[in-house]
Amino acid sequence: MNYIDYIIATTSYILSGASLTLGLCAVTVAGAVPLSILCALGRVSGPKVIGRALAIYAWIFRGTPLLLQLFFIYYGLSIFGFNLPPFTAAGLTFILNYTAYMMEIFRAGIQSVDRGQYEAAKALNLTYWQTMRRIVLPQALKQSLPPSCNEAISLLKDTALVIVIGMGDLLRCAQEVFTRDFRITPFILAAIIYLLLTSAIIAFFRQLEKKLEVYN
Amino acid sequence: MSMIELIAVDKKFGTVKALDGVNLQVNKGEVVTIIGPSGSGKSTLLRSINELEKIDSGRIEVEGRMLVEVKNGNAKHPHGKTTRELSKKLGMVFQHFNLFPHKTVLENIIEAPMIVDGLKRGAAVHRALSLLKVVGLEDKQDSYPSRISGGQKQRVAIARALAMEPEVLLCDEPTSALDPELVGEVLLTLKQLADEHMTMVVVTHEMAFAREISDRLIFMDQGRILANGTPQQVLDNPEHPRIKEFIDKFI
Ligand SMILES: Nc1ncnc2c1ncn2[C@@H]1O[C@H](COP(=O)(O)OP(=O)(O)OP(=O)(O)O)[C@@H](O)[C@H]1O
Ligand SMILES: [Mg+2]
Repeated sequence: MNYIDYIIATTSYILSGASLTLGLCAVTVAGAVPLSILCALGRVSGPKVIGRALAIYAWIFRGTPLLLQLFFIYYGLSIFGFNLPPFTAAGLTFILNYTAYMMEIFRAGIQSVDRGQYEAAKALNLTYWQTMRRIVLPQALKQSLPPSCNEAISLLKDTALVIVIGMGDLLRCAQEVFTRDFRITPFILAAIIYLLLTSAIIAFFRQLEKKLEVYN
Repeated sequence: MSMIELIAVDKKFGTVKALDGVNLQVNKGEVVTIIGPSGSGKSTLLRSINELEKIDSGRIEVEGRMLVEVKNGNAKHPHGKTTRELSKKLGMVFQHFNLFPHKTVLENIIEAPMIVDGLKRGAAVHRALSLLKVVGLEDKQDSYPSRISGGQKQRVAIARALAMEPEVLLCDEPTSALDPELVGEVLLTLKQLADEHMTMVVVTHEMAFAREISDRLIFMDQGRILANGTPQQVLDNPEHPRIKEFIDKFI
């Protein structure tokens, strides 16, 4: 087998792991984005108890390592008889962890919207939900784009942690090839794939920001 | 017929009495302007009518129907449907326009008619375009607020308020945030509305304008209405020393 064939074979093997990486990212985004918007609304305009509870939740999930949270949910819960499959455990952990961060980002975004916007909406008789959905959130989400881009990049890289609960992600596949062949190539290929993916994330956010720039 | 009535309205911010036993009646088709020194409670009065401020005590009526009544700290509102029906009769124009920056001029105007009143897009656009014509901005319908002048923004804000077909237009210093050369176009728009017998309550520092368009002029000081009469009555022979002092600063 020549070197080109080796690279192709290795790449396609690593890419098979990338599907797990991307699947986990997709699940996390699909869960954490809507959930964190709701939590942010709860913190900004919900009753005090809910605000306190959410603050404590953010404190815990932002103040402890993601890896520890993964251990808790995968191994820890099994002690109580909840044997979650690895992907479910990982998805749950990542959603809980990323919601804690994104909630704070969206909260800052919502609070950056001028009071006058609420007053104009009220004067026009929009309800609370209409005001949030049509007036406040679109402006808040735009403010949140730059920090959200950072979170998306972190997420992609953080998914590599699932190796510790035995999942075959992108990095795990590269590592297997390395162990088998004792060559640096699989790691280089993994790095290139990560870089391409993070570049795609950055390009996506740049496009989105550009599109929303029209009204600046 | 009484369009708006305030009865013994009090409002405090901490220890500051922003409104102190205010009684005021605005009749249908009447143009009432409110003048007075800074901090005298003019904005608070206007904002209370629209429930942007919650009053501490007193009663506010719209077309003779109770909008809110506060007695001994207990607020009473009519049913949600009545509240919506009554507050829909009130339109508001703000000092800082408060246009929605992420929506174009046209989208700003059709937003509430579509979302609140459930108007079809075509009908809402039709109404918006005729209002843009009234305020002289047909050519700006696709601009974002950031791309038009302050005077144009305020005219869009007026069109946006009118799109809900209110019975009353409340204007809080509609020209105070504008460069001097842009004040005229907004005053002209408001005068046009006054000429069409739109009921209006306008807080302003533009004395000549107040004199010209007002059926009634109100002078406020320290949360109280010190004078309430025709512009001539209030401005030409001020009985109260505070009013004299205030007017002298403008001449
Ligand atoms: N949100 C608030 N919190 C605390 N105090 C307030 C608030 N709004 C108004 N006040 C106080 O209430 C009083 C009346 O204020 P208001 O804004 O109604 O005055 P104004 O007549 O509109 O003044 P201006 O001409 O400067 O706009 C002032 O003493 C003001 O400082
Ligand atoms: Mg004011």
